[in-house]
Amino acid sequence: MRHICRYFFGILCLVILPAVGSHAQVYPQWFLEPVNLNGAAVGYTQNFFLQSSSDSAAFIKACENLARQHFMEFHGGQAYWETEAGVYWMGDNFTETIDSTFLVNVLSHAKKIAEYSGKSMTFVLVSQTETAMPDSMTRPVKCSMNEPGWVEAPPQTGDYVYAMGVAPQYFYESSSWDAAEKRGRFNLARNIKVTLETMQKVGDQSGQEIRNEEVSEALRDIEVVHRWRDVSRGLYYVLIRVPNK
Amino acid sequence: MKKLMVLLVSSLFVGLIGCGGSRSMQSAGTGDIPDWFTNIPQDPNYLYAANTQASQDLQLAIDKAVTGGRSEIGRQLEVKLEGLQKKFSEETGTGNDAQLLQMFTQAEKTVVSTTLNGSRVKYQKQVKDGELWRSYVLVEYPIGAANTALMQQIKNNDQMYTRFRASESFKELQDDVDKYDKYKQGQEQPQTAPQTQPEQH
Repeated sequence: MRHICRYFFGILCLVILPAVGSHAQVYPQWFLEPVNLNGAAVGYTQNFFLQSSSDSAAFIKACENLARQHFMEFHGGQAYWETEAGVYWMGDNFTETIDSTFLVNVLSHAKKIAEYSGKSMTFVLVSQTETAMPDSMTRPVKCSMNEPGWVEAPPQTGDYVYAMGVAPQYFYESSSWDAAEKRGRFNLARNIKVTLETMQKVGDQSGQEIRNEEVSEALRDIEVVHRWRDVSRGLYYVLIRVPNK
Repeated sequence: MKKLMVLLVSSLFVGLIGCGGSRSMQSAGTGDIPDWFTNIPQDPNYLYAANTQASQDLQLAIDKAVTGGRSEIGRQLEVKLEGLQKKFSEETGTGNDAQLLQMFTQAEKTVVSTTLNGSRVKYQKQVKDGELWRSYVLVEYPIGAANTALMQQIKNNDQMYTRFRASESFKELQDDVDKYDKYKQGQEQPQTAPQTQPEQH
């Protein structure tokens, strides 16, 4: 009888505990709100067996993000075929290129300003210069459960062009944040300039359209403004901006 | 003994159902359709196009909706330019004028069917629709920029410019361009996007 009780209790714990844990997400403030960190970039990775491995991987990713913020080129496009049955994706060939010389320089000279190791991820903040960070930015904070306004309506100012990237939950949380940031960068390039070609064919009984969009843009001084995780729906949001020149 | 078993099984059942419920994603009922999707904003300085698409892949749903919205904006621009061309032709009696046709063809190539500069997603919302992700988007395009480009195109053609300058259509276009210039100057001041919910972090 006791064995049965233990068995059921164990199953209950296995089912309930992960669900409870997924609602308490803690991140460093400089990860959620990196907008005021001039010239700094955040890198993150899933936790490896050795903490030193996590730190190294996060540092390298932070340097790559620093290079991305400095200069990026976007090329490629995607095509769709629309019929009465719906819109079919026909493929894409997007690529993003960073300044590799700048990256090598950053890898050898960048300074680690802060680091934070959570339950599943390690975060590192790097900068090219010694940057003093306000105390309010260093403390870990819980990610808000309320949806921020920028998720539905990205900001609009004359000084910056904004875009948002969103990604679903992948096995590793860091993969979700990566995907959201990448989509944000592409959306930013699209907002600035996109070339559209559409061909519509309408007959007596049916109609169809082929759409192709192309992006070719070089961006400088890209900034991540906000990050937010929608725990209830398993979505990851990143707001990105670039100066409006 | 039996009572205890029943109690354990029912508590496990309640636990499973409860956890399942908290993880279930919202389905796209009518309550999930955003207001801006059904009541598209009206602004003389912008063209708007709302679109919704569904896909198993969240990002694909968004991309399909945004590209659909941008295509719609392209079509709206085309209709607007065709209307302007017709008005010019009627006013000046230059219906079959080769120069006029060429000028508008060039304008369409530059402004409409080739490139959209500054088109952006004004609002977007993602909801779970059964096993699919459904994305609602509202794409906006600053029509003022297109008007300015068209005006420049007309001014570049000296002969046509002389003929059109006195027409009512030209004055309307000039008014639109002036309004856009004033709007742009006003936009130098940072604008706050409408917040659907208070931002809290």
